[in-house]
Amino acid sequence: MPSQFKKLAQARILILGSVMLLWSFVILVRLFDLQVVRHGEMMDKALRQQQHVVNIVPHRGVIYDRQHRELAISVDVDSLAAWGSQIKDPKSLAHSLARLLHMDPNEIESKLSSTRGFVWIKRKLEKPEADAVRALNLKGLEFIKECKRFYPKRELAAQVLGYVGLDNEGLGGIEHYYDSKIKGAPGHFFVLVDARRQRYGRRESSRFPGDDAILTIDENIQYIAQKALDAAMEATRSEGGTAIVMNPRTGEILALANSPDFNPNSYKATHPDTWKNRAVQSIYEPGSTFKIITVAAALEEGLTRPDEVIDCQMGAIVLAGHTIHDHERLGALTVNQIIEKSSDVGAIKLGLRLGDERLYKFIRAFGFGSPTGVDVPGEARGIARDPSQWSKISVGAISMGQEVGVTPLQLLRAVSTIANDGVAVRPYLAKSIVDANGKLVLSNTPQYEQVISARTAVMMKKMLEGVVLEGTGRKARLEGYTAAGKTGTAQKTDPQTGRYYHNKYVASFAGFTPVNNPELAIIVVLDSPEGYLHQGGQVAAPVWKEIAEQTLRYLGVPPELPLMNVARKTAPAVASAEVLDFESNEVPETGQTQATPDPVVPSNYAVRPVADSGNTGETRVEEEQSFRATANTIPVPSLLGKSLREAAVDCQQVGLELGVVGSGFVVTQHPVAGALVPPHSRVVAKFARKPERGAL
Amino acid sequence: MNWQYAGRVQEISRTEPLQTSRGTIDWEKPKVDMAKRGSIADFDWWLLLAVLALAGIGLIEIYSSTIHTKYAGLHIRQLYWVLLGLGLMWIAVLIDYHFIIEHVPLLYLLGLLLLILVMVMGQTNLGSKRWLGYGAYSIQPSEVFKLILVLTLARYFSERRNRELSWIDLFQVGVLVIVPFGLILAQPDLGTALTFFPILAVGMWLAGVRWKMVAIVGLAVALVLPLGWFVLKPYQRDRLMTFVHSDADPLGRGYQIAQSKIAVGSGGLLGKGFLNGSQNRLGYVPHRHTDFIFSVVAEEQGFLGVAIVLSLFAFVIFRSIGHARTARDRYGVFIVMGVVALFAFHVIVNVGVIIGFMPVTGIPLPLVSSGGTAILTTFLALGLVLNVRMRRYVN
Repeated sequence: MPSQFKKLAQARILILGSVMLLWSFVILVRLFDLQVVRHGEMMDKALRQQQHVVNIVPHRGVIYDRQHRELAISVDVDSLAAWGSQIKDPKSLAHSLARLLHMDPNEIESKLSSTRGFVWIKRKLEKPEADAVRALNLKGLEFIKECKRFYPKRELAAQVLGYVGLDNEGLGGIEHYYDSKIKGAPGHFFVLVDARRQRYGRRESSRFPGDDAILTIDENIQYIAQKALDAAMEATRSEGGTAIVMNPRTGEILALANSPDFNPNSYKATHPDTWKNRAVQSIYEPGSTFKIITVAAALEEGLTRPDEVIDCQMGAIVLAGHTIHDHERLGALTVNQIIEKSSDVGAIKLGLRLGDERLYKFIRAFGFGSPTGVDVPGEARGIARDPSQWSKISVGAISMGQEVGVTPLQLLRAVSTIANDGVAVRPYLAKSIVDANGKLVLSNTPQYEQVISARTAVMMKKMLEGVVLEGTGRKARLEGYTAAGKTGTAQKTDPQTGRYYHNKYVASFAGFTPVNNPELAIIVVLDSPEGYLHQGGQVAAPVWKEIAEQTLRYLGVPPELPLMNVARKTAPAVASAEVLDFESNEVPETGQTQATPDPVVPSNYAVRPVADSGNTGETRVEEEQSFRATANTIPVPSLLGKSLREAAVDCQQVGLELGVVGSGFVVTQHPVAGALVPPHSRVVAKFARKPERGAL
Repeated sequence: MNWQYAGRVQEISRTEPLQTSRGTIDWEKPKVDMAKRGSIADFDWWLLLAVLALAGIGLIEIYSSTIHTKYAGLHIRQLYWVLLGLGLMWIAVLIDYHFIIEHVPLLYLLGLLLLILVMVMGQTNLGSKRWLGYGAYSIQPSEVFKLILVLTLARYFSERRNRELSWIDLFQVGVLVIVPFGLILAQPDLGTALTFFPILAVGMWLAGVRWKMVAIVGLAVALVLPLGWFVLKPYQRDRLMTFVHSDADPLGRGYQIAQSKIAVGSGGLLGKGFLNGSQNRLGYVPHRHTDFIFSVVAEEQGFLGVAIVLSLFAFVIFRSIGHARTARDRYGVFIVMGVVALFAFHVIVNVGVIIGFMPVTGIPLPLVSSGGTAILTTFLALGLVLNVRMRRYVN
């Protein structure tokens, strides 16, 4: 090469090379930007155009009652979908489908022609519909297995269970509260779509079924409560009603019935108001049932005794210039009688003794003004205003259950606290949640809180038993069982004017049974019963009685009382041994009043858990013997089926007195056989010609 | 005597005649052999290896982008083209490039004849007449002409007497370029026609173009280019407009570039894997086995894959540039740099389109894109580079 050209060419070749090097670098930077820095963005764009993602709803978990009976299940149904790009003639297809699916042909046509991709035509077809469409064997249509919630028991416990929407999302009740557990993990199917919007292939990601929920509800008790409530609703033509059955010792809700109800399989057919769970969402003025709180507070604070006599001023009291009239003209009453007869003046007087602050303290301690924590969505807190917002007469009004707002469940919880010797429990509806493999995911256990002393609770129990035996709640007296409770008849407030209606009431009865060893705490609330009989003792107590009797029988709780006209002395007063010791030391003087039964029961009085009594003969015997060895007690012989003569002989032999009711053969006895009692105790036996159904 | 080109190939005649200082008789004979056949020891095996690697990658990617399409099996045909190209390359290596340069006028006329034949009896495909022959056995004369132009300009610039490029030179070269350019533009095939410019520009650059001339020509082109707008076919205008407003209409005219960018970007660092490029497989990437094959590489092999492919191209280009610097004479320099200009232009423009730097021009990726004539031409061109390299020592 000539040197002159060589020099120039070499230099210029180098410049060219550098330019190309620069270019390579720029290209590399750009590629790095696209492929690494903006990779995510580009990937999104790619997926958005390449894939149709269709969510496949998984099976929701089954909801069982406490006996593993199915309350809500999922069933497979077909949904009809189409691929817009594969439909050649949307019009004629829409026409033939419309007839089979009972849809508007124009609607189908617009769906089919709106997209070239995936579109649902109708979801969750009925079986005949699906079969008919399948028979047509049309191209471009696709059946996709979805699942549908089905409530086999229809209206039963509808508000407890809730309902689900089109995408199987829980919209109420347990379905909503535990939705994250019950719903499961949805699957997807991805359909690849090519550049000409044709389907190319599909991948499916698996779905995972939801967890099963086991409720505390017992289907049969629920049915009992629902039926009794519905009957009362019809008889009283009430606007609404609630009945809750709870185990006061654990807080397990055995039944929760609301009326009117709805069918969750087709919840849209009924008014949204019926979907509401009144038991936790409706607030009402409790009226007299709230006197339980006032009296319990006064007893707990040592401001009164059950036998203290209070002048009820013939049914009128002046409070800050307002005269408050009682529903009855009552004179001097013991505190026991104030509860039994539901004296407003008496309650007000006790409330005044407490004063604003202490009354408020107990209202809150009994759980009013805050949610109970039950596992139900949308629970109301109720209304319990701070004393700073009270007027001069508030303390009186609140003492008799006005100016406060409670939910039925809150009140039931307060009554359970009495039943449970002063220990409040948190109500709950779901016992446990288990996954598809049976592994425990969640389990609710009782939560306790001591609200009042056991001593106060025992005194309250007796008073509430008096309500049933001799007071306003006589219609709640049970056949064969002791019961305690309180009636309530509150005037309703007109939400528009804020004033009380003259003819609208909320009638309620809340109580527990059996008194000494409570198995059940039940509340019945009827909203606006019509007619002359609208009081809690008249309309709610009979419903309460019916639910309680049937439930006790269903649970196999052995009857403890022969007849209701037997003196209430027969109901032993205490529930547990610890309480007994405490009791005998602290309340020596309660026996003085004639109206009060003897509360002092020997500490070795056997109180067996009732649930055990049906099946454990052998262990019982062992217990007896050990007791006999250590204490001076006598086991009660079994008198069942015996004649009067035989029963009398049996009692005489062991040194017990026999109380006789009726004639014939022994059908029930109290105390029950095997109980350890002090010598010369009285055993009451009820005699009948034929063994009564249910009594044995 | 080995001066068989004396008088006609003037550069050689002006080189130092005999360097007898290193001996006289003994090395004259081997010198003749070297000039004619070169030395096998000087054959650039590395370059050949890089070229074969690229062709191999091309076969794999063509397989991936045509499987399950109507083009399935195209990789086999591509393999035949590559083998044929290798054969032609071998011939191009064996024939002394001086012999080829000597017959440039003949080649040029033959090329023009083919282009005119295309005008008269070419196959029409996708709206343009570009092919001669029948179906799969057709050739694309415009591709071949690229190489002829490289040789033509190499000879012209090498044999020019003046030190600097004169206006007369420019005019003569202009005529040599404009005739085939016009014929190809008329097919119409703007992409191929445009490849003439880098060959011309690099030639002029090395021939010593003055800055003044660059400025004047640049200005003239800038003035004439707007007029060119009216010459362009509507689809060509679309492509230009699309590039200017690339995001305006992603599903319309900007579709190809948008989809190509998505394919490249979604590939990520390591790619989606062989045969797993969804943009490719679902047909979102246009012309994916030809002009857009690079986006398939980018999607399936990721940044790492394209970096390797680009490195191979860079290796071929910079190794060739090195050969230009050690070339024995001006012919060698211009031939190699012409090929480099052609080759690099293809790579830069093709990749530039795929990553959204340039409007869609219809220029394939050398060695990798499917296409018969282009493969043959590329192998022939690189054969010329190897030819020059093998004969780099004068004596």
